[in-house]
Amino acid sequence: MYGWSGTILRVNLTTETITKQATDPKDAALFLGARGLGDKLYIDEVDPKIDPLSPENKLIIAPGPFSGTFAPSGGRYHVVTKSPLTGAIAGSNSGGTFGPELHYAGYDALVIEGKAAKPVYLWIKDDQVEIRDASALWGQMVPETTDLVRKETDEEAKVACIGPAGEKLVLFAAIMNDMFRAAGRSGVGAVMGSKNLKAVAVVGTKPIQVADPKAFETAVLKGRKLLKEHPVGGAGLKAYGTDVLINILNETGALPTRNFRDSQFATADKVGGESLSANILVRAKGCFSCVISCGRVTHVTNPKYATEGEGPEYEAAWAMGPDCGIDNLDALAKSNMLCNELGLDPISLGATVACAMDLYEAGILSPKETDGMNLSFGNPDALVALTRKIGMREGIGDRLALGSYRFASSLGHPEFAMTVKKQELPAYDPRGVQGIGLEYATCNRGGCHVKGYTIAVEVLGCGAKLDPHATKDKPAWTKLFQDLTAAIDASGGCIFGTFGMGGDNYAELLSALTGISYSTEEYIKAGERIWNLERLFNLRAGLTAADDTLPERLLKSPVKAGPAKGEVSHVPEMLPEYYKLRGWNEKGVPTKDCLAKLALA
Amino acid sequence: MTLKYFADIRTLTGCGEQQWTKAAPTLQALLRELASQYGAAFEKKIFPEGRLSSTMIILVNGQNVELLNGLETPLTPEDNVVFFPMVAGG
Repeated sequence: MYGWSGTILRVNLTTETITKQATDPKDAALFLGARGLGDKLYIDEVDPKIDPLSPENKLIIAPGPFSGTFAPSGGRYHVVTKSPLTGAIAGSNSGGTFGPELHYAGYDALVIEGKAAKPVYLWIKDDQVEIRDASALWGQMVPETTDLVRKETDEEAKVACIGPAGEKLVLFAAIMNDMFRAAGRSGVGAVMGSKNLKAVAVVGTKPIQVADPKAFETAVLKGRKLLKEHPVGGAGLKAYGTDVLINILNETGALPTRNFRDSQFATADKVGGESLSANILVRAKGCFSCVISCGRVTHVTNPKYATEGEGPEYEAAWAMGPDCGIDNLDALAKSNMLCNELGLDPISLGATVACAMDLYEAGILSPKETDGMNLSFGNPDALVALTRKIGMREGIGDRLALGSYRFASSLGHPEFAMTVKKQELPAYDPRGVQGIGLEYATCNRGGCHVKGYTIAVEVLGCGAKLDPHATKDKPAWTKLFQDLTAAIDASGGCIFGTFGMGGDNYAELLSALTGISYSTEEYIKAGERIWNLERLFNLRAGLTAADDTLPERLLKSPVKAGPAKGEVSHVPEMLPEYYKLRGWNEKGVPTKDCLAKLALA
Repeated sequence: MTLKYFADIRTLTGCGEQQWTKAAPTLQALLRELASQYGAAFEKKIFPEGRLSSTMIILVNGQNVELLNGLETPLTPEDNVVFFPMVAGG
């Protein structure tokens, strides 16, 4: 096969058996790789009703066809499983170098089944695969784990692992790779922890075969040029990182503040990308084959919050900053680094702390329940302390480790949780930007921005300039972004590649790489197929159209001040048109015609 | 009128925020004044080919001027005008 390695690696941790099977060429052509092929393998094999933290759940780690090639910003891998946070399909992807290495080792996917009797890690060196004892690694932070695994295997090994948060089944634990990159959302790290799997180390030395090297080189150079010439892909992200968005969203009146009580934060500039660059940035850093380099290598010298590593990115800075009413950048960087070390999703972490602060200020969370901490909004020391407590499940952290929805519900007030499908919302107020609210409500993995990033056209003016307060045409834009993103995810590409490249460029790259001719329409249709497959899994898991909604606060409490003053989210009005465009019935179920059109019938 | 500058626009103006007290009845008038104050580099950023740059984001009271009246957007002394280059994240 061209593009694909042609082999699926399957490891059953219960029986300690390791098997290999051929990648199905038909599935590969239809579902591409990474998110798509991972979804197809997972959904064919797993009962949607299983407990996500039981041995019956499976964990699939899959690179895409682009991973390891020169495709611009094409070095990602995807993790597919059933989320313990949402009960829906989980799909979290990550950059760095791990995905390409797994592809070089010769695998289109790693399927992990069962549960080991004791802590183990996997050591994959091309065709050689071992299940090794990880007793000495259990309890170690992510950087120490990474170093120790490399020492035991190969200093050049690429390592994906969990930290204490994954071991202790924090429902928003991440899988970390290359120390600082994260498959962060939906608790995929908890699933890995439930299997007693501490790490996967890989060294791969095999080539990826390209069907038409000349055409692929031409498509790669064209894509790189488009990225380099684009103001975002070429200069903006490298200069200021993703955190530059803080000020833009604040000025637009859509920066969720104090658990979405407000939509503007008076001192936002203190935690924005400009401040980060001026105060703690060491250098920009890119992932494998990336010409963008949005990553931030940072160093905080303030003794109270001293730390060095990578981040925070925009979403993390927002969740731990404005959403908690905190404007201390050093504290945010410290808390973000703790998330990296413990293996936590910083979005859900920050949003869960914000929810606790909201409940505390409302008098619902008693000071007797907070381990002696003042959880008022704006307390940076409480943020840092809670990050550690959640990751280690100590004190109140044990309860917060279940996420904001379950925590607020335990106090009788689920309405304080700013979640969709129990996953914490990210950094855009859907009362001030209407389309992104529809993405939140309909995303297959729950509250998520990145799988349908309409902010690009609603706020940033990339590709089109739409009124963020309008609802007209937003269902169509949301669907298009969701489908294109699914195809890019499935290719192993980074969504930031769209800050320069379009669907036609991706289709050209994939066609030249695999030898299968994809038109732009067929490429986006592959994404639509993946979206519908995920939807079918969620429906079979028990989710319904009633789950395609937003928290009541965003639907009924108008924004109090700023450019979005008086606005609420209009998701309920947009949803019927969205279902219709998708070819779903009024209950959000794909019709037979829809499934037949997508070869899913 | 309050003017705010972000990302690399700040490096051209040397400040993040300023109060504007001269007359500027429209955005075009304000931009011409600012180009005069901050020089050729600023003017090139705003008007790269004699027209308002498609990669600039200018908000008046939180609304993108492209969704208002573009260069003819009227301004008042109470307005908040914000300048960004096209940057992004997520």
